[in-house]
Amino acid sequence: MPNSQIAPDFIYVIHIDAPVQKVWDALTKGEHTIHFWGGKDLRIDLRVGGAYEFFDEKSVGHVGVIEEIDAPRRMVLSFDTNGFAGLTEAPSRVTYLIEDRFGGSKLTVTHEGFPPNSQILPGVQAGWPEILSGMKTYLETGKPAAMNEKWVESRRA
Amino acid sequence: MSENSRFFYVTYIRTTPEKLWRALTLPEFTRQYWAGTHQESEWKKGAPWRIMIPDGRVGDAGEVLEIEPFKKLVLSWQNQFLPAMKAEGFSRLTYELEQKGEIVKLTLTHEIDVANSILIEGVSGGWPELLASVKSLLETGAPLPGGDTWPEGV
Repeated sequence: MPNSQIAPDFIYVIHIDAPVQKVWDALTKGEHTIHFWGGKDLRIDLRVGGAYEFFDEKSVGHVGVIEEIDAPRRMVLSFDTNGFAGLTEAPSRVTYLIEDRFGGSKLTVTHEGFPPNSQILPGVQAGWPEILSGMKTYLETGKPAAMNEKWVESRRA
Repeated sequence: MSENSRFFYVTYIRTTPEKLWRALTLPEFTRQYWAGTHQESEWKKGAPWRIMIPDGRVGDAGEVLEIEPFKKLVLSWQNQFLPAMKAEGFSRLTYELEQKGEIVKLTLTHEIDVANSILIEGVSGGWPELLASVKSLLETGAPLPGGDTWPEGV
């Protein structure tokens, strides 16, 4: 980590045996996110200024706006928990960087811009490893993340 | 102000604590994904521990500080073959394994009481790759490509 820069609030690297395009699709299409993103579907307008929201049958999850996009390798999005659990903070910022590694992918997720003593950051720090581990399982095995299976089954019924 | 460098990582793997523990410690597994290396230890508190590079050099060495099989392993860890890293002394590596249904949550902490540690900088790049590879091995039967080979020129 560079000595002179302020470290981001959260940074997570995960290596996945899937091509860059497939990782990009998993992060940006609801047909994939339902299998590992806490059961949530995704609506997204894939352009600068486009809005996105995660949602399921009961509620809308987090939302935001795309700030930069360079498909299928890089995207910067605002992240707003939309009043979840009664918490309101200014939106933070997520960066996805997907790099080719001999046909597989190295995904770096950076999440920053939280205020000091953020009430949301701890949940974010706990959530990303779970979501991204589930995404890796989904891309490599075709199986949804275990915690999602009940949701996917109920959706099929 | 204390001087400390720390790498922290959590991953979730579809396996059992016992299988993951074995994959992290036994030669038949580590040779497949941990650059062809294997570890030598009697795996008891106070026992010496080291990582062996395929060409016979010792990669890293230390001792078992704490061990609760299939739950927690704490090792002291000093790099042996890169002089600048060796000079930093002993770091501390902790694995914690927690079963959550069909999944094991693995929490890894690697830290040293040295500011801007080059060891921690180095392992910060290595650990995500190693843990991704052991996850792939346990979930798909194959590690990430190249995991069985020690890098050339190192």
